[in-house]
Amino acid sequence: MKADTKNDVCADLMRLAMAGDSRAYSKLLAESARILRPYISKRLNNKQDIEDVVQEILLSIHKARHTYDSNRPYSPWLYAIAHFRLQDFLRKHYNDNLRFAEELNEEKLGGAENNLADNVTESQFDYESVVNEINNLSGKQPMILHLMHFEGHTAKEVGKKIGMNESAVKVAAHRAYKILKKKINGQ
Amino acid sequence: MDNNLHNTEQFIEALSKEIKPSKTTKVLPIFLRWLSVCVVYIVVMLYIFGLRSDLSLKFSEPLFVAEITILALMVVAMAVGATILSFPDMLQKKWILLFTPISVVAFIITLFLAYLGSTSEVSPLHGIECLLCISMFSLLPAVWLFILLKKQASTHQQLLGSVAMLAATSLGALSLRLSEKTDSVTHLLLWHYLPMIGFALLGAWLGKKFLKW
Repeated sequence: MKADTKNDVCADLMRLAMAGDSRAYSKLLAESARILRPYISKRLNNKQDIEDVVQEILLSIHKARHTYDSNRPYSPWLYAIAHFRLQDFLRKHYNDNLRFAEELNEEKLGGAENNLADNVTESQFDYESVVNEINNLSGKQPMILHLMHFEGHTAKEVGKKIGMNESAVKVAAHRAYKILKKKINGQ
Repeated sequence: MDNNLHNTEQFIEALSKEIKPSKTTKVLPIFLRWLSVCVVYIVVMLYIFGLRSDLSLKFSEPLFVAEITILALMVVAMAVGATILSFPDMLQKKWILLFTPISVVAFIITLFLAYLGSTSEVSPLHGIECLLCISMFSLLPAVWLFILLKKQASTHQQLLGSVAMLAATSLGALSLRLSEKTDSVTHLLLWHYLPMIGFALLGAWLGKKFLKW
């Protein structure tokens, strides 16, 4: 479908939706989601995140529909909202990861300060042994570290996956780091 | 079927059930609603504070007339600009926003010409009182504009907040100019116009906080 035709179709659907036609509105939202997925996929890898952002944008379309005039092309209006919500998501995502990385860094710095004299090439621990130590942790700690560090999820996302709240995930991760640090430092 | 896609379909269905007939908002009605309330407010405030005694004489001075006219144009440009910024796509007419910096530049030029043309500068003793007066004159216009624009859906909330505050403070400065009998350009610059920069920064913070949707 050419861009102009697509715009015209969406503009017509929105005009009907503003008159209260729920079927037209449903078609419009489905078409908007179809347009948005490739746009969001260029910036996000995780499928769940892509759908979360798409749904967030659809909700924003719903809230902001009174600001669209069907005499204007639909795409610029849609992409303005999409860009806005995507920036929101990325900002929040990076803030969560940065906060987590800062906490992780404090732990690592604590260990490094005590072992400045050690030769880093003569570590007793290699990647495999660290993974083994993680797997030997108790409770949900191995799963939490695996999801956070090997799959790149934030604490909030991990909490959702395993049914814990974000703070509990962070506390469990923090305790796991302490245990691992003791083992790495040979205590 | 992919679980994620299925969830989105259900989400769309839920949103579709909520749809009701609604009207599109437009710039002019929002602007006129704002302006009409502000005009009434300013008239009341000027009645309380009084007009300057030499006002009819001042209106025979070209630079004074230019200053008042350009301030009025700034109010309109800022208020219309703020309203346009409240639409996600800025009505796909971003060029209209150019009038906001153009009006500011025109105002600066007018002030500069007034400064060059001023013979003796007699600065009034008061200073902070002017700032407080402008704040009072601007308060209701600012609050009312934020209330109107909160119902919109801006994707540039901080900029919108700044421009909205500039609209309100321009109106406040204009009103005080009709009320206060002082023509010291230095005083006007220090206590009437430069503080608008501070108000614009405050507006950016208020926009980020209160114009979410």
